[in-house]
Amino acid sequence: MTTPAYSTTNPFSAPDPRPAPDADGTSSAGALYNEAQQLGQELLDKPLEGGGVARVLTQHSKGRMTVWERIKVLTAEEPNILWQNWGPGLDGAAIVTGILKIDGRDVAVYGHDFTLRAGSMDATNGDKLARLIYMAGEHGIPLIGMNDSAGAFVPAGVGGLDGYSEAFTALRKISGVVPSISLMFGYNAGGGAYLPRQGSFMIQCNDTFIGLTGPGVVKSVLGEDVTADDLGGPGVHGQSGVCDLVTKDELASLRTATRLLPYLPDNNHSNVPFAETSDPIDRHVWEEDLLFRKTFNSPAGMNAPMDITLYLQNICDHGEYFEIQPQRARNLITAFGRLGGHAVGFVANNSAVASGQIDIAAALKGTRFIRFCNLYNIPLIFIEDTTGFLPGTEQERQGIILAGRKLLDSIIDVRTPRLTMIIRNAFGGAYASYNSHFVGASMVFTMPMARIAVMGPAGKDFVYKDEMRGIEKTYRSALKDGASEAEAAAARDGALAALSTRYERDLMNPKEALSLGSVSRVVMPGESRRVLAKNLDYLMSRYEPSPMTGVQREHE
Amino acid sequence: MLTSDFQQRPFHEADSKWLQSFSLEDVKCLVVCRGPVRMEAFEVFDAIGVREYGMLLSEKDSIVYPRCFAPELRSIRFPKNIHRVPDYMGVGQEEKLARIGEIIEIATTHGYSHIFAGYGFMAEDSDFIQAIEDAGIGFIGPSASVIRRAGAKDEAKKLARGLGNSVIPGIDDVSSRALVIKAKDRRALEKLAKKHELEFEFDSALSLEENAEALLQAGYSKTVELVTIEELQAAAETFSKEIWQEYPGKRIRFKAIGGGGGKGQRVVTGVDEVSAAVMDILAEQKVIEPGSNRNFLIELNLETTRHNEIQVVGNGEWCINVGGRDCSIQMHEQKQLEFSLNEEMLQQALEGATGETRTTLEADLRCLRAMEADSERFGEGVRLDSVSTFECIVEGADHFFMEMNTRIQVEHGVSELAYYIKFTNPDDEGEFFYVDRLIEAMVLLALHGARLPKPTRVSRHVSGAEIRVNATNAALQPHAGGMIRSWSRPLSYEIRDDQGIGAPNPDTGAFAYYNLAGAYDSNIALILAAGDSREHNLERLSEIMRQMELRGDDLKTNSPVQYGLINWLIGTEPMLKPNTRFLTHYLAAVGSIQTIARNVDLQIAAVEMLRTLPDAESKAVFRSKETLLLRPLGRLLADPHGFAGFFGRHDGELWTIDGDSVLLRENPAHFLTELYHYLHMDFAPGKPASEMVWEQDHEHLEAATAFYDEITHRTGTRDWTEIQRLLEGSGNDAISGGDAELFDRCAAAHRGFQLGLDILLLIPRIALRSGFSEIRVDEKLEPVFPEQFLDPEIAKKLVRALAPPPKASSDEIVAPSGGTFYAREAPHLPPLVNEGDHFEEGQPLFIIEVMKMFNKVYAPCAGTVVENPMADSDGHIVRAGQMIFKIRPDEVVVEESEADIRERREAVTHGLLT
Repeated sequence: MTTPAYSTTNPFSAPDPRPAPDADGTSSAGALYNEAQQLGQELLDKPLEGGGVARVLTQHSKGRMTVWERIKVLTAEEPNILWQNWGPGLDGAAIVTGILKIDGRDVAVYGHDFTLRAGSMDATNGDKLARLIYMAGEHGIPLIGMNDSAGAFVPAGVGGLDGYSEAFTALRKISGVVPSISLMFGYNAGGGAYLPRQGSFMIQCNDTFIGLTGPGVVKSVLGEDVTADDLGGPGVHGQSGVCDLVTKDELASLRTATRLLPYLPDNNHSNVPFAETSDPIDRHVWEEDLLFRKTFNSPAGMNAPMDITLYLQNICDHGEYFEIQPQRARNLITAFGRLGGHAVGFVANNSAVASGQIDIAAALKGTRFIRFCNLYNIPLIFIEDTTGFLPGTEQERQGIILAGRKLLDSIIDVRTPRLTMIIRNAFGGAYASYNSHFVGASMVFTMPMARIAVMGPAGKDFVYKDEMRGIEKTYRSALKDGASEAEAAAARDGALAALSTRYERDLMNPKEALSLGSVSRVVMPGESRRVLAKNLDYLMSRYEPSPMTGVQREHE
Repeated sequence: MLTSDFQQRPFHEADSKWLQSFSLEDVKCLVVCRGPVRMEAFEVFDAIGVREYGMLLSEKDSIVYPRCFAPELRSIRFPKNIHRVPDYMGVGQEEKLARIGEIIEIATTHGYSHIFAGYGFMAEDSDFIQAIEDAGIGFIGPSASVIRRAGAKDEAKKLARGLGNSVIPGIDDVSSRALVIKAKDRRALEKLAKKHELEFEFDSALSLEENAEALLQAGYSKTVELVTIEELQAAAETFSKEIWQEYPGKRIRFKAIGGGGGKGQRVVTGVDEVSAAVMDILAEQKVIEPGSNRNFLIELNLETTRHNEIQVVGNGEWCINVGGRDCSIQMHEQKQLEFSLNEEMLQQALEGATGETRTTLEADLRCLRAMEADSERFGEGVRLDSVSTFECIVEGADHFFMEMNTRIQVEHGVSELAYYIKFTNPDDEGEFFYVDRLIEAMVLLALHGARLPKPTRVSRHVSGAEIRVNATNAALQPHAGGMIRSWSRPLSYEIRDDQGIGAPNPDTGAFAYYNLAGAYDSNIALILAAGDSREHNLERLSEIMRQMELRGDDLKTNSPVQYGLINWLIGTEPMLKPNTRFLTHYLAAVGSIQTIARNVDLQIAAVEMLRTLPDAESKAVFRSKETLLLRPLGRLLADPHGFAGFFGRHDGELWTIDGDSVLLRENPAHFLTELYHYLHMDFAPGKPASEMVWEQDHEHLEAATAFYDEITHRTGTRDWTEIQRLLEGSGNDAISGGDAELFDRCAAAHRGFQLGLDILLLIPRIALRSGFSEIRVDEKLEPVFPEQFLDPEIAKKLVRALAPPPKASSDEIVAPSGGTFYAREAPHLPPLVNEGDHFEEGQPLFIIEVMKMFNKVYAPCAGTVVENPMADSDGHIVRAGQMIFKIRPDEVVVEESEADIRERREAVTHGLLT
């Protein structure tokens, strides 16, 4: 034997401490037993080795963790790995499946092992993945998927596609049964993009790609020159809603998943775990009053924009809320939070962005969030402050009626406790559809400065038709009587402004809605935490979590 | 207080009548400032048995920024004592008075006995404190009368002179003194007045010089020349000689009254330069004509000054000092790193010091004692009745009084680490207690001041130091915060005042995300630690910063600067005497590293090294070490400050630089282990894999370490040259015990472990090329920088490399940082530029407010504004890189092509490999 010229092992290192097979070979039973032990150890080690040292090095050289390393970030407790020698190579078939204990809760997890055949999918591991997914559904535990897969395993031919089909089916079957979080690592195309998006939440970090095809195919088919990041990076998907949350690196994604988990129930027949709070629910929120006072007393007055998350952070337990899709359509905020320990979904118009008008993106974002909360027994609180749906050719051409209708239908369908707090504007169709009493709100509250009306300030043209005509008449006769154009116009404008003020005073207020019983009560600024939390607590005490049943409606 | 056996106990729980008599139970204190000191005050109040306390909460801490709640709200013991105010202070006199009224109203309505203002803006405001005193509320801090006596700079200086304190030597009335030289008495002055028909009446209550000044003023109004330029020149020579007599070898500054920005100023080194200097400044000031006011100042020129200060405590009768602090490491008037400057520390450093270093330290000790004595005299003089800071500038071993800060300062904790304050019962020598927190001393003085016996100071630690963690970029410019998502816990010996940011959500225990954008100033936290020596102290700070993990979105802090600098100090000279310009030069030097490091491409380096390897086997081994080598190097190259620190700490230890060549002194396998450790990437089970050495790389390093340890064990040598000689020889019995095959395997392992490690020499080579390695500290413990880092123009360019402006196409001006946009300097002024305007390079274009700092953004080139989407957008929030103007540059810059960039990087990288 010749010594190699280079070695990276310590020649002095101690020999293998494991019991060696009997040296003399006299005891055949002992030898057999030892062989079995050795085999057992090899089988246990096999999946942990992945694709071998060189492949692990390649994975690391891209700044990416291996699937095993990612699991360790999710939990310090030992993972319960299932079917670890699955596949003809006994290597686990390039996908790791198991049950983790994360902060005391059981969570099913899968993760592609990119070091084995680039984490690609075939019938073998598709079958394995489907089995885990069905198991999570059956046992009613959440699912976390760590996606890092090049797509279908090409040498496996159609079999590879079958593997995807099986996994697609399994994930769709448990959709609505247990919530899931898809973490996007590496480069995921085709089936590798669709599968994770079937889950509840998708989290993507920097230096990753999600797309139907990569930039290479885009170049050859369409001739477009585009980088992977511009085609399918987190900057793209965070804005389209393909991704719910974007982060800066793998570690941040994994930690974000464990921060999201406490807001999710185990399944569709249980509540989100209640979290006892030391933040008193009857705390008067002075800041709420200050916020409104500052906003409405500013020069822009009732038209002043206001970042609604400032309101959320002041009323939630210890100021914490967790925004979903914060990169997209922030004219509507969707966020989880807690009130008096109950997890709740907030759907809040945000006048700080695009005046809080609901456009297609906001409607789709809201629909998605409301449907999720509805399926998983999460109560909803709607914070209303919008002048309505965004009109115009662009929106109409893109079908805002479809998108707005989705939002409306998703609200009608809600069966969990749902409250509405009207802060300022609640006009027309937006008022009617936005969790009003007659679309099924459990209770509707209003702030005293709310402006609940059929129309915004333009409504005076309809309500005061006679007065309007009178003003016009006076204007014309003044001109006829020799008044200058400027004089007459000034008098007319003054009268019109007075009419507007009268309209705002008389009709843009909560009185009519209260008198009709459409709104339950007035809540003074500073008291909304108390009122919302108490009502929520009451409603939740009467609410039995259960799976959605009943007729499937036509549109989604 | 601490009992005689150093147990923390509130006075009212003490076991003697005398101790109980200092009970603080009656105090209900309103804290009217924010930041780290508010958190600290609550902590101290809890520990010392203050009955109750409350806080103000401003809108900016609750309803202006999302995820920016005053973190104290999560844990305050008295949630009912939170009082809402629009702001903690006022902008302008009127608002300030309104704030004061509001605070007093809150305090009286809610029965507060005392008010504490920390080091907030109001803490030294005599109007504020007078109003508190008038309202019958106790102020925890120096009283209004003390502030009036000590606060005004001129008066304070006069008082200091009167007390025999040292102030900057010089005179500010050259003209009148020159006149007195000519007209030596009352009669002579009156005669002159008569001769020129000037209205002048001698006032015998005033000095001769003051009368001369009055006569001069009368002369100016009638453009009568009383003193000629020649006479001024002669007088200046006389006065300069007097200064030189006392401070031989120093330079003297001549400064015209009303001069500024370097104009009307000359610095002279000898008497023969005086006349020309006088002529020059008068000419620049355009006061050559007879009858013009030609007065100017003559003072000692203090170029390489250091900023030292003494902490004093007094009760109006007595005043003692508890040592000094060196605060010279500062940038943009912001202090970064502060050390205790105390007798015990200097005494210790003196042990073993020789030659000029010894002389220097001895002089420093004398200087410190003189400052301490002056501070106590001054404190007594102003009847200081709380804590204050006596500020000095120091040049060489001479100190000059600047001002007294009549409040507790940010860096007070440094002094708490150096000394305890010991109070002894005057009637019973055996009975005493210690105070270890200055805030406690302030409360005690506010409540029991007159009764407190004069204390003594007792040494606590030889050295104390403080790091300020600020929201800044790598060039120490303010940066708009970002969001903190996690922060590791403090180490056992670390004192971290993070304003409560690290206090978890009480329900879930999870870190509460914190948005720094809401902070008023850029200070995020204070980190303090003590040591058995200055060096030990620095090592602890280094360890704290090494292990600190602060993660978040768009987060930029000065901690890389701090970590690098601390390590550079440890490796270079822990006792360095930095001057106030040190950090500017140091930043330029680090910028110089960056100009090279950003052109180093490790992939190119790896390819080049692979190419030079002889065979497939060696290439395979090299490839197996790719992440092992490139990952830590890549991280170091991406952080020039970390690079500077690593270089400074290990220069001369891991390698030596000899002329243009670099030699390894230590086994590069150890070098690599050291680098992973420095980067806080050691293997630690339970840590996320992405944050430490990859496991296979860890195993490789472990094997290499074990191998070389065994070689050392067998051969008895640690010497790297010797070990190489043995392993590269033909056999060695000590190593192999005569087993030739084992020796072969050892030789192979040696080759395998060493393969590719010469890439680590990139580190000293970059330091060498950049000139960074030439920085040294002389025997007087003063830093010596190569010339290029001192040149302001070159330095500016180098510092720019540390914080390059965001990339944009050349036809856009973008926001260099996130913040609030303003088109104009003040609401009543026109925008700095409008659409269609032409602008020159360096002309201010708009303003970005970051952390209350209004940063003017200057044009990078000359051009014309062709589109202005930000018209009428004053007060809007912009993000970094956001387009502000579309412009047409006068000269279109040719952008470097990908190929050019690659070529440049190849040239730089290849050049560094050999």
